Amino acid sequence: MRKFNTIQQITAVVLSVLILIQFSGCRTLTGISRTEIPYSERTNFYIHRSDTSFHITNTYLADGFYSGIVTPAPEKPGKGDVMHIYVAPDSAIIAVGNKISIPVANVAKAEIFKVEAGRTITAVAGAAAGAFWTYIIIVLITKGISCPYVYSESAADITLEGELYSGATATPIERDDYITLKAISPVDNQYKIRITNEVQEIQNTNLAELLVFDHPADAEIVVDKYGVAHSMTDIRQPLSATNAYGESILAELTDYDSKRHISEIRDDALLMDTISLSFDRPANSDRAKLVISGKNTMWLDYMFAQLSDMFGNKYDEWVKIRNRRSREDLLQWSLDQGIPLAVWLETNTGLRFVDYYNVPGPARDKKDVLHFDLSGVSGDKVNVKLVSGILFWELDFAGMDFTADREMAKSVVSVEYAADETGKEVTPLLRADDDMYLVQPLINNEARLTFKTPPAVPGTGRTVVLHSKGNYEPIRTATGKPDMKLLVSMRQPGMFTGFAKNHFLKYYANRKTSEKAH
Amino acid sequence: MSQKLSLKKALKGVIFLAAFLAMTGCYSLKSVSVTRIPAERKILVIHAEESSWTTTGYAIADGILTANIGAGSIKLKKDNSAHIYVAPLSAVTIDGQTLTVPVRNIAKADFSDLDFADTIGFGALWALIIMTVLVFFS
Repeated sequence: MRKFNTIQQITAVVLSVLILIQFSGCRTLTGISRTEIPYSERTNFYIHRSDTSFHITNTYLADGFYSGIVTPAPEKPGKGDVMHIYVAPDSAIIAVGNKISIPVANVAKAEIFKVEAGRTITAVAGAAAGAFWTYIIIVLITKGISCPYVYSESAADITLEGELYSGATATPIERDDYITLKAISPVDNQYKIRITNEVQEIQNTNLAELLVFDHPADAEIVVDKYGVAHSMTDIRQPLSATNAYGESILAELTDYDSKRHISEIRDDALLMDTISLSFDRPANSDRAKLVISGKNTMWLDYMFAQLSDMFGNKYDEWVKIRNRRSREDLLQWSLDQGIPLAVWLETNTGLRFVDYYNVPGPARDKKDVLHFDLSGVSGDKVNVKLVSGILFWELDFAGMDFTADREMAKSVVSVEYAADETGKEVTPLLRADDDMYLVQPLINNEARLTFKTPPAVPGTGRTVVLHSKGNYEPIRTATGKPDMKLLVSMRQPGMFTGFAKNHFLKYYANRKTSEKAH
Repeated sequence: MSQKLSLKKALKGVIFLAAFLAMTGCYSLKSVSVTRIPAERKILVIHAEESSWTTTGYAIADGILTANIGAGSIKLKKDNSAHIYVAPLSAVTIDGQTLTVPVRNIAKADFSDLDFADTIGFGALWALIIMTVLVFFS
């Protein structure tokens, strides 16, 4: 429902703009009677005789004659200002100096351009429809490969919160996902959400339940990828933040705002984007919570779709092979290509791989946290590096909280009732982590879920998190023979990353060449 | 399955309407000299001031256009007629069913011609609009 409202809004805006643009409308020539000529409110008159025509202005009607002064015709008169007058015979036109007079009786036809309502409406509506389809095509292209979308309801609105189990593109890497429902509020004492399929995928949701946290009002709760809730009460901004080329990106990462970090891309051998962060470390702190807010780029989606399409008529086979591979293999491949955001900690003995953030998808920024110990780190600074494939992530914020997690009450709320878009109940499919799945194979499949609202604890703040689990299979329609040599090479670490970077450079170089040519 | 059926229905509607539009077509006015009116334009509508006559069998000789008043069994359509505009009204002479007018008194001759670009363009626009409406409100 929400997405159609958005589309409707966009279409309405486009339509309004087009109506303004088209204010002059589609005009066609229409004959008018001679008696209407003086009232036509035109300023540019063209008098046509058999072999030539004159442009006249300052016209007036007197004693049965139309008169005017011959003037040079403007280069592009507005159609709405023009009138054509056809006169016969030629000898009826009386010219004295630059003044022309024509007996009204000798005007055979007068024509003006009139707005043709049908054409104008068609053109405007057609343009609006064109804009609508352009939007849809852009959405479909840019969404490419994504994952289920989740919307939360409040009394006033339905809000897209983000995507579920992004990156779980094969059954072995089915995963748990925790997403904070920032806009949810009880409706009729129920929490309501919607899980929708809006892309060409078969989406399999195993579990959907709410984790409701009642916590100190001054704390912010973020659930990590393991399902552990962390309270944030003192998120520190980095002292310094630099990109892979040593340039400062501090301004991009210090606030939740429109300034964001996206990889700088140069024509060199670098395949990974490394963000170096340095934080002040409070005395006696032995653990840290690294908080980020960001999302994946559409570029990553697009390039993964490109990779999938390279399998051509063997795509289905590739899907089967992936589904038979081990979870560890698939996750390792993903990490080797820089798809998740890896975290490395600077220790006394060198850089230590700490963990990685799961991909959140490109739809919405997601705030995520990783909790790790600081053993082996001495000094009053904590230095970390965030590493991902070039152009795979865009980050809005990075911070570190060294405080201990606060006490909080947690309620796990199972789905009370769920129905698909046809009204069929699907509740049992979502209640437990089992072998029953809500399968959404078609675009516009939508499940509506309701949960009982637990009683609020007075004097606390509340955070609602959706815990889901599932996997999805992108549907591709590529044909042709796969380039097996190239595809086999993609197993090597960094090959996909390099493929994506080269693709970008090739595209970018082509565009620059093309721009120069023009 | 139901989505496929809806799509089929929608496409049928779009195809029917686009075909209808293509047949109806968009016409634009073409101005020509009176001697260059295409021969397939059997009906000539002669306008002078507020009067007009529908004529057939017109011919031009010695600077005079002669035509027979009345369209007979031919139905007046955009694609079989042309229009001429005469001034002054007194230049039109009627003798029984024969109408004559000096060519020098014909200020303009035009006819509606099928505009293929417009027809295809507007047909496509309408198909797009209808498809959008079907998708939008289904």
